[in-house]
Amino acid sequence: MMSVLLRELRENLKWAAIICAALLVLFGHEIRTAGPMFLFDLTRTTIFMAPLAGLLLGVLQMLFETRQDNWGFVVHRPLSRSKIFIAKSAAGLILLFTSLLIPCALAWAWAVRPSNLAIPVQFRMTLPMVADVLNSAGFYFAGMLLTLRRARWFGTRLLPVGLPLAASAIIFMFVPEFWQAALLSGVVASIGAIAAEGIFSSQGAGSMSAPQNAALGAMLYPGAIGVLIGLMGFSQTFNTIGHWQYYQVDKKGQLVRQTLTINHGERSVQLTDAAGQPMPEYAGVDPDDPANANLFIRFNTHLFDPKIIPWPLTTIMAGETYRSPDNSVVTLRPNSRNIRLPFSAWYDISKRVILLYDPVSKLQIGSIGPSGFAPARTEGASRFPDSPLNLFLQRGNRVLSFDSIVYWIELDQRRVRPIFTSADDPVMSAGEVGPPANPLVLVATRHRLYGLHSDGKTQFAIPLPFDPDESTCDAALLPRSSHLLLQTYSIPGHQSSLHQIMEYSEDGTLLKTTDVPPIVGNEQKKFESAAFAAIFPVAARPLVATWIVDDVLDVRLGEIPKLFAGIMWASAIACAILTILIARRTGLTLGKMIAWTLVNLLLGLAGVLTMLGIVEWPARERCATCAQNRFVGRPKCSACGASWEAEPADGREIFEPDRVVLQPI
Amino acid sequence: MNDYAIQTRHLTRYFGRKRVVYDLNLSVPRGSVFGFLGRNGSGKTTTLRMVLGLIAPSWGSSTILDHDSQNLPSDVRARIGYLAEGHPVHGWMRVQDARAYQSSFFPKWNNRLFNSVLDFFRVDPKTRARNMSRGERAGLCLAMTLAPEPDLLILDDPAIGLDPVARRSLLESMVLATRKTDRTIIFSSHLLADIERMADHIAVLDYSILRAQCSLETFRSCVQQFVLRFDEKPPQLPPLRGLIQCIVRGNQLRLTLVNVTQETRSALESMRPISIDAAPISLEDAFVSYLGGSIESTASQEISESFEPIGGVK
Repeated sequence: MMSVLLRELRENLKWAAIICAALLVLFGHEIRTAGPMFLFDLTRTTIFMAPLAGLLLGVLQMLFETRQDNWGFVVHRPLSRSKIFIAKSAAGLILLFTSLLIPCALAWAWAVRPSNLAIPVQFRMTLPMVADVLNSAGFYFAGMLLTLRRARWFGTRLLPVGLPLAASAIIFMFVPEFWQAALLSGVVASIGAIAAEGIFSSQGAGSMSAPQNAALGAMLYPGAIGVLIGLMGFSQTFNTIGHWQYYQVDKKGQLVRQTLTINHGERSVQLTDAAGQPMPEYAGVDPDDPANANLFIRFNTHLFDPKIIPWPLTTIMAGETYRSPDNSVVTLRPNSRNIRLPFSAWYDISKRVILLYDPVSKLQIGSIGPSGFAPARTEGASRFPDSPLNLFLQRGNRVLSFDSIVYWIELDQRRVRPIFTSADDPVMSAGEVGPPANPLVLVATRHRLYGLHSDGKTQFAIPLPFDPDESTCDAALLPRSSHLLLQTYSIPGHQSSLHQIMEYSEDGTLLKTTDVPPIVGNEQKKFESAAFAAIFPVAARPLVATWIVDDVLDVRLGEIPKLFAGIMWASAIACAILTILIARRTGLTLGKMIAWTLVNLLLGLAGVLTMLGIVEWPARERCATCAQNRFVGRPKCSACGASWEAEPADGREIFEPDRVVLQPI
Repeated sequence: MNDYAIQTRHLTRYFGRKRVVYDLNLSVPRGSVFGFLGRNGSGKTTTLRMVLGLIAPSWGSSTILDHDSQNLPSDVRARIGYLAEGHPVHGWMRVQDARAYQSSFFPKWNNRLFNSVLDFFRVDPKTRARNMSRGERAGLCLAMTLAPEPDLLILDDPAIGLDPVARRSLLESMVLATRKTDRTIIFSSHLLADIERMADHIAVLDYSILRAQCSLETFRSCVQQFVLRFDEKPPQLPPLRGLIQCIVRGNQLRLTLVNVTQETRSALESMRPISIDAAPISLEDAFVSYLGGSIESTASQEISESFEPIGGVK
């Protein structure tokens, strides 16, 4: 086994060297334009390069074996095929990880050198790159499958890439923690390894075991779903009419419904009130015209507890993922174009201080804590109490909020000032609205909303106008009246879908509450949703909440639940019938036919595609009696029941008289 | 342990709709040198691969050294030497690398045999396999196959692409290998001279079907040629079982027949020729007639139609 491992290492070293060199060149290019977020910027390279490297190495390592003569040379050895496969894949993974990790390690070594990056570099910053490297293992085994697996159609040969691709998307977008990403990569690589081992071991030597078939199915199924979604998306390219609606709030605080229609390439925008009545002041106004950029209010300040956001939206809305720089360091800006700072400022999550860096020398100037500024090479500033609240939402604000205290940051003065303390009502979120010169600081506790001046003087204090466990809230200030606007939404997945806009006077008096009516999908969107139902697996319905289908996948399941369910079940039954027909053609046993039918009833159309990729199509020959196709090797013809008969002798046969013909084992 | 190194039972293989091997019942006696004959695409290589467990049969089964081909244990594989068609070897390896790699798998490794085979082929030990000539590469592959001293040697068209000198070296190496008396060798080839020189048993595949499996002497004795002379143009042939070739030359009829029986002789006599003489036939002619007979006649017929005035062959 060691001989195979060493030979594979020697034989494929050149590919690993090429991968390593390519990555070093790309990283070198990144170094030339390196910004403070250099280590995170490198993931733009690794997220594509690592899977590509894995896929290529998997393909190239198995390419020699694809020729039948070479296959015999490789596997005809006094060593089980499983051991040969283990040695091959161990060598492949060693080369893959080494070739990818060497450039990452060199990039890390460059980044930690003082004067290279004006940022407190932390080891945590390398985790996204390491996650990408680990993720490449799934692609490596997919590459092996791509090369080794016999596929009836070229398209189905590519299907094994489906699972690692799906896993990459999940790792990139939805996985909060590094260990979860590593675990998912490990699971996908294990499934790929089982499937590839099954194909390698059974190549010409019988059929795969049930776990190996299941692993191959798991590799193919996401690919089949991808093919179906791709086909559905492609069919939409022929749709020439598009129709979108959303709400805006104008500078007078009025609710405006914006309707965008694209008909055969002709774009038209209509601005109406919530009831659909035309608004004379917006007649002929195009909100996408740059001259109208400030027509509507922008709700840039968010006041909610990110913990109430359900997964997978946490990673999108609150940036709670190991891939987000905010979990390591958070950039702090003066929030005023008039103030130019001679340093860059970062809140260091692990050190709980604000660190200042010289942008020219890229060396640390000093640190700011609650007690003030401390120059570099001293003991450093005192530390803040904890990690700040929802920093991702507060970026660009001068407010640093903690459970019991809120600070106002004055970076130009190199200090922070406490402006709010609360002992018994924990702070949930804080932010600033209004002009930078005269901002209104909003502090939301679990029960109250405070409006403060930047010096800490209270302008108003009112009961919190939304339920913090069920709603999110965005805030803005009307420019002319300085009235506060709060826009509240029910969190996705909540039973009620409340969307309100509230207007408050400067002293905190509620002036107006507007209920925003829900946007109803148009016929085209309903048609798309119905088409989506045809490929939606029945088994996924109890597992995937309606709001995920609607909000994450942008489908209108909530509007057409009965139609969606009807189409989904009709498609499932059609798939079951199709499965029976395929099972009959492929000569499956009754047990396997029932099992596949049940599986495809649950997995839908993608399950049928997966079945086509797994099930062997047995050889058939013409029956001498009924002229129908019959399976080779079956004792009786399934059509006419005629027994199998050997090819008749033609008189040329020369055999020794004592020849014995044995029955198959 | 039975008397056969390899036995197949109704071995059948289809590639898609194409039938490659059909209902093959083959028995290779232990200690024999077994020649496997057949035209291109007749299924020789596929049969050998199925027997080695490199391809699964569509139906049927086979045993090799008393073990099911599809589940060969490692120790049994160690007793089987296999030289694949095309002499595959890792291109980057030099002779020393190949020896080190190959010898690491086999408990028995005869270094002297390895070196002597390389000497036969005059292989430069410093050359990488990818830079070797076909003959040198064949020599390296054969050395790697013989050095573990296998009980069963399977050689798939080992002489393919070799010049006469290299072919002779290969044969001599095989003779070297057969000195171990209980070793079984099965090899496929198109070269009748090699078969005649080496084999004591043969099997003939004719487009996926096994037509003959016997000793070389039996094959020679079963394929016979007769020259029938007539006063005038030969009459219409009666139905003759075992007729594989018929050539008309003037008033002569040259017939090649298999398994001639008294019934066949009576049928020939019923044509009332002036004389019936048995003509000597070489193994190559016998083999060409045996496998190419029907096709050659068709082709000959077309040729004769095109050159009617000459009319020598019909």
